[in-house]
Amino acid sequence: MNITRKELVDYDATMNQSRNMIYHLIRFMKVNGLEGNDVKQRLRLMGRNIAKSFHNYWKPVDQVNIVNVRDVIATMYKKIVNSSVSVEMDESQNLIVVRDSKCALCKYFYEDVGKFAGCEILLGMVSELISLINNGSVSGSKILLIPQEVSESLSYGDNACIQVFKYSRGGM
Amino acid sequence: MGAFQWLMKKVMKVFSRTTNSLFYTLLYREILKEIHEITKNEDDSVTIFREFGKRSAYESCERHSSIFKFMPGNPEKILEYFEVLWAVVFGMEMGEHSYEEIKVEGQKYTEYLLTIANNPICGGYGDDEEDTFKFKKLSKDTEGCSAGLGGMLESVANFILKIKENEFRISITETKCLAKGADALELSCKIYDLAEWQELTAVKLQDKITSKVHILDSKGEEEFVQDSKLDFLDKLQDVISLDKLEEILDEPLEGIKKRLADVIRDKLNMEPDHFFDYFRNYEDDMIRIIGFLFIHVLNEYGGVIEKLLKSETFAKAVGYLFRQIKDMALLFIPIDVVNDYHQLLINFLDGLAPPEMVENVRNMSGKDDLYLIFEGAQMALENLGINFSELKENVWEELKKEREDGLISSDASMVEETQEKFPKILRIVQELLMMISEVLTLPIRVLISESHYGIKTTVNSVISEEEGGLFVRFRDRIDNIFDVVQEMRE
Repeated sequence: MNITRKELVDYDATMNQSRNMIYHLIRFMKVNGLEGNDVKQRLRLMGRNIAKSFHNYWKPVDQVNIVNVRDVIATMYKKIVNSSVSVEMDESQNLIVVRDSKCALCKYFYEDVGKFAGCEILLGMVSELISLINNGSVSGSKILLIPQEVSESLSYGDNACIQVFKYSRGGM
Repeated sequence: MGAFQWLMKKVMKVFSRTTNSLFYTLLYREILKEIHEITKNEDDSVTIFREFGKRSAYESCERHSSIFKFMPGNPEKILEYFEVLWAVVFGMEMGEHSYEEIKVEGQKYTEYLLTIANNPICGGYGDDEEDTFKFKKLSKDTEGCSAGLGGMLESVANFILKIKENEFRISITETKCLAKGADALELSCKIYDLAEWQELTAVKLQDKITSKVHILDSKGEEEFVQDSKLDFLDKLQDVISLDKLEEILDEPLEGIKKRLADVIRDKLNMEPDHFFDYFRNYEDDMIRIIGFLFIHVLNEYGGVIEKLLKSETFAKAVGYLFRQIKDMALLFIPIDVVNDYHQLLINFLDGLAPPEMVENVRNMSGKDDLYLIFEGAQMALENLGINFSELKENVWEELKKEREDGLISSDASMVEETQEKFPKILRIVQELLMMISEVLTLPIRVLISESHYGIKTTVNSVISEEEGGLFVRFRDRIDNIFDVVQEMRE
């Protein structure tokens, strides 16, 4: 009997090679005609698919709301990509800003890849995971996240990755 | 898993970036699916995926080439380290597995078949709606879900062989896949001559696939590798590559004496007793020279010590640490152990040096040896930049002074971070001290068994896991250190 996905949740794997592989994929997408925004959307879709499967085996809470959203996001990053992140909320613009100085999916700037960050995948994954957790919840205090952008990234040559989400209360 | 495989696994694990294994597996799946989204052809997708695995791993190896220099440099030995690579990549032991050697007639080298019962890559594949890549559509000869992994492992293995200037290469391909319906993962490892390998890999990826997609050419293995910038590691790996360490452990005292005698004859063109005769009646200085040379030889590899001591603060810190060790050495090293080392020195000189000199050394004590070695080491450290005369009575006075000068940051977060890490640092120091103490008991075992079975027996006996010997305790302590380091990194 092979190891199950449920069991895999309790282990850590080394990411170095797979991180590099994301950038080979981006090169492959670009050379086969995908434009900048298409590439980002495909990466976010990968993240959403990861979230859909991951949610079947792990979720940190039963509901995500405005009170716990920062902690939930920090927990997700810690558990899934082993990153300690800072999560800020900008209530005037309904934005959530995640800062990760040791992003698991970005590390180096590749001139031939250009301004693409592997953590676009996380943008899709985190928003989808929160959506799945809150799916079915009737509480008006629940929160939904929409990926906005990776505003800074180690892959762009910055010092940290900054992922920006827009949030709305009670669903969209 | 042998001692060095275990150590390598620990080192590689600490210095790698980890994520959750399920995330890793799902990301791996998604990359393959995205390739397929473009090719629309399962066989081509797997072929391209394997190539991406190869290129990714090679890129990683190139960045961390120094660490691979300590790996053994021949194909069979590398396969012995396969378990290490597996454990590092997946964060779990390889579990139930078997090796099979297959000798094919007409084939120059043995082929190895590795069967692994559990494969995290395809663990639970098919359970989720998003598992849309159809492995069962793959043709019989195409690899399965571990193609990317096979590419990575092949790349790492060949990178090691290349930097070790070995004339062989290995191919690692998946021959049975759980996701394709097999009952276990099977990897086939074949060994090739370099020329044969180059011919085999000359076919471009673009020519291996049928779909009309574009693929960027690889930079090519040969031009991809750069020499390590760290001369120190380059030189060190000549001495302590893992397989050589194993050889050293097998060597009894008489063998080492014979080697030294050969070196003196070969390099200095004189008999060993003539060489040692120069030190007759200057035995004190000879022992000082051991400490002096020890520091300078360490520094010889890349001038690392000298570079580190250029920083005044660091030089002071090392100075205090050195003085502390010197003052406290006899508190944590039992005098019997020191005397055992003294006896070891006498045994070492006996036969190499003139009898009168051996007698003079015999009249000294182990304690004298220790102080003289420290004196020699202190002289070397002074040469390299530590001004011992400037050091305060103890390190706390130095810290107090710097606080008054405002040299230590008063940033609250820095202080908090330091306070948080301090107990962990203390734990590391404590574990290191305990390790040193335990290693220092080695000569007792060496001397007792040397007269009967030689060093090899001793080393083997302390390595024995059932006896809970030195190795087990040593491993536990290193385990603790790695755990704390990993906690600190997180």
